[in-house]
Amino acid sequence: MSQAVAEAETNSDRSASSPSINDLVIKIATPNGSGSQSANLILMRSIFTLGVPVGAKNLFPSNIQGLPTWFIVRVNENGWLAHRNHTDLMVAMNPQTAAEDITELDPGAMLVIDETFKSLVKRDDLHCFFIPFNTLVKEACPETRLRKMVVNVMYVGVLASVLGIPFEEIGNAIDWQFAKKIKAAELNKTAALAAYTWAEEHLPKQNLHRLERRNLTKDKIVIEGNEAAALGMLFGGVTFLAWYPITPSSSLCEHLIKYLGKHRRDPETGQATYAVIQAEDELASMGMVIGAGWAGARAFTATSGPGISLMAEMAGLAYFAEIPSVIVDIQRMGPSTGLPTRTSQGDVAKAYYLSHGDCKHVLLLPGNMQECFEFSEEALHLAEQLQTLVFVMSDLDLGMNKWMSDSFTPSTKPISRGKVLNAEELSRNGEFARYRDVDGDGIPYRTLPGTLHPNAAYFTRGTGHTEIATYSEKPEDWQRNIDRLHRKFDTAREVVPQPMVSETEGSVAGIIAYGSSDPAVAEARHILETKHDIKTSYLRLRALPVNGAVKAFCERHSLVCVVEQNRDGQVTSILRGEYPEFGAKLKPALHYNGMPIDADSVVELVLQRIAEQKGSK
Amino acid sequence: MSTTVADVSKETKAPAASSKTNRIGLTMQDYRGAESTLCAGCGHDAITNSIIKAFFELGVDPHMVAKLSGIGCSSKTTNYFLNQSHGFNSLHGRMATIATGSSLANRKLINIGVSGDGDTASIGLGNFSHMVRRNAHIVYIVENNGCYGLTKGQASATADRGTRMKSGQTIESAPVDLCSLAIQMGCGFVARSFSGDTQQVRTLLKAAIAHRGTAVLDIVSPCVTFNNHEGSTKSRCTKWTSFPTTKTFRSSTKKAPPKSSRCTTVPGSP
Repeated sequence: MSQAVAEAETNSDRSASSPSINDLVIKIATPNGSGSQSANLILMRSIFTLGVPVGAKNLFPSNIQGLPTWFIVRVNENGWLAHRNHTDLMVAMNPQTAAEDITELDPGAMLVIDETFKSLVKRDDLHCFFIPFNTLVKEACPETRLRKMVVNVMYVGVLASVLGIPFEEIGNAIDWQFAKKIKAAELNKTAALAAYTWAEEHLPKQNLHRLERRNLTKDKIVIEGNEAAALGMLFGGVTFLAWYPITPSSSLCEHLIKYLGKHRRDPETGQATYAVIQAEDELASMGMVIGAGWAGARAFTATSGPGISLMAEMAGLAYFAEIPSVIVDIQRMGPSTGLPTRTSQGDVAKAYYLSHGDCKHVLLLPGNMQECFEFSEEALHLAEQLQTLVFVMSDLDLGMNKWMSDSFTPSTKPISRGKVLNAEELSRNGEFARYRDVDGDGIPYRTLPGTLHPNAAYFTRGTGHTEIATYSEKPEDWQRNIDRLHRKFDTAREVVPQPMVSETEGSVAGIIAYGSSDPAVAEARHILETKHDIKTSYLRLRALPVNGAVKAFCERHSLVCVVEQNRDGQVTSILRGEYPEFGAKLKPALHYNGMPIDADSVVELVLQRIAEQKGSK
Repeated sequence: MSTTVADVSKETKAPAASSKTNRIGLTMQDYRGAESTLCAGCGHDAITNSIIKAFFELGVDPHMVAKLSGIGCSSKTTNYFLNQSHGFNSLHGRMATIATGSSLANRKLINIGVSGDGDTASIGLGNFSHMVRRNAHIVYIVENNGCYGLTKGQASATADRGTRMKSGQTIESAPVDLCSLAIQMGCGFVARSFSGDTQQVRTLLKAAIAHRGTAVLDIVSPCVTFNNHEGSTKSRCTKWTSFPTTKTFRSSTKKAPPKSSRCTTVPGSP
């Protein structure tokens, strides 16, 4: 067995005598389909139960087996869990990428690698731990075919030793991960313990990073945004889902199907009280949602950018025919080859204006797990309240990565179906005009098919209709109708989730951000203030269209950096359209390389915008 | 079947007003809709009247009916019957999806979908096939005239091979046979009829409404404006003694077009 090498010189600014506690990024490189996901979740779980805040990103390829995948775990007891580009500890288990994985490390970083790849390590500025994984796995796992899987839990055992995670936490996490699969749990525990014991005996103690028990994860949960959104739909009273599989949205639907099957059965008959259809394409899934919404269901679909493109015509129908419907867009990079498994905020402008004619849609912009949960219900609610299509603009980073969160509190407000007239109300009103603005808010009243009243029926068309839903091509009828739709959009401004504003006295710049950028922006503001002595104020958009709160924020600041994860500053353009008077001070700060946005990038972008502003004065 | 297209005209008149009531106490008038705006003599109007009569005779409560359609002349007709039913004139080719959603949202509704051959066999073929496959509870009527009416006479995917369109284009490719497609997709109720044979259409409609699951009615319905000329297989000149098929039909009036133009005559080709 080889001797571990840990005496390398380092340029690290960390003092060798005092390790950093509960603050590091672990990056684990494996080939996909090798069963490493379970091991990674076990590692993450053990840190979580140690009481230390932890989050993880799964960088995976559009592939089932063999291509490189990375699992990035960030541990931070201050709760900064945004993506970070620097790796403190690399676990290089994939020979295909090991050379590159080693090259990208900063001097002083730690490297856990199989001893057979020793020749790949040509640097002397790393703290290397060479592990005889082959020998260890042979001893721990008699069955040859299982070794490829079991070896993964062995790096978890090694990391527990290196970082000081009590083995008991690993054991508990294994039991939790394999739940009822007792044999698998035992095998994994044996293997993890063997690796842990070997590491304890053979590896020198490092003094760079340690994990210590804290009590910071009490009442917290770890969840993916897609599962949070699925739960939100369940609690929000969804009755209809039509979907077409597309990464990264499929898991939302799959989670919901699981929950619906469990919780939505008629207690007497055992029959499902919901409907789910896996459609033949996104045209169909959106068509079904519109048909169901028209007939009275709380209906939604989930998809990603390419699916949104196919739904474009349907979006216009939902807008003009005023049919409650919800699309959850888990945004990712563009067309299907290349980066379909990387995150993006590239669909915002498209969704906002989607379809032909004068269309504008309501967009909800969840920025954390609680909002992924809450905005599902909010979207169903707003769709019925406003009688229109509502988008929830999540993304791959929120949807498919593991986030620590406060646990969810379901809304206690009763489910409202909006302005729906029943037979009794129709009798009382005497008259029913489907598209009349009775209340002055642009939102008309509707009836549902199956309402037993002679006045209930109306004829639904896309465009030309009068207030009483008869066919019309008269210019005045058309314009009156689209002006009313505009009025309805103005009503939406006040009822959508309002922005979260954090004003700091003496701030040099305002930052506007939305969605998954929030944790990176929050951390960046901290860095700007503590390291650069730059104070910033922050407005987090939670929905479009915007209202006076955004205007007031822009008025208060001479520079407003709009942080976005797309190339063209889509929300910047929308804000400039809303407030042309602020056009010059709204500056996009853009991150769009497919990786989740990180605080260092935000800091750099904001500093650039500030410097540019100073330069131009 | 021996009715000719010429018989259609006498059937396009609305059913005579009568005070006769059905089993739920409604008159025929209660099943009518808005005035048709289609061309005089259009086969679709005959189908509309058959729908009115079928629902009247069955004594269906119109409030429990959802009328769905796509886009096209045929799809406009949902406005011309059952005024007391909710109607939805949706998107071109996508009625099958809208109706699927509607049928699942309220399972007590009777969903009647009216579509055309362009709507169903051209742009909406995929969605149609999958609706049938799922056996959604829908009476799906195709008013099949082999051409696009609202966009002025272009060929649809059910235009017969060899037929000559009004523009002079001769169809080279095989037509889509919606009935055999529906059967292949496992449909439990498939029928083909002719708009002029109102008694048969009405009988089939009643059976289809009573059917639980998808019922497909492919009703040949001549277009008197754009598909009623020499060389058309669906014109008044055609004796509808049997339906033309790709095997039996031979164009008697035109030679095959030159090869160079062939690719441009294939409907639906990119």
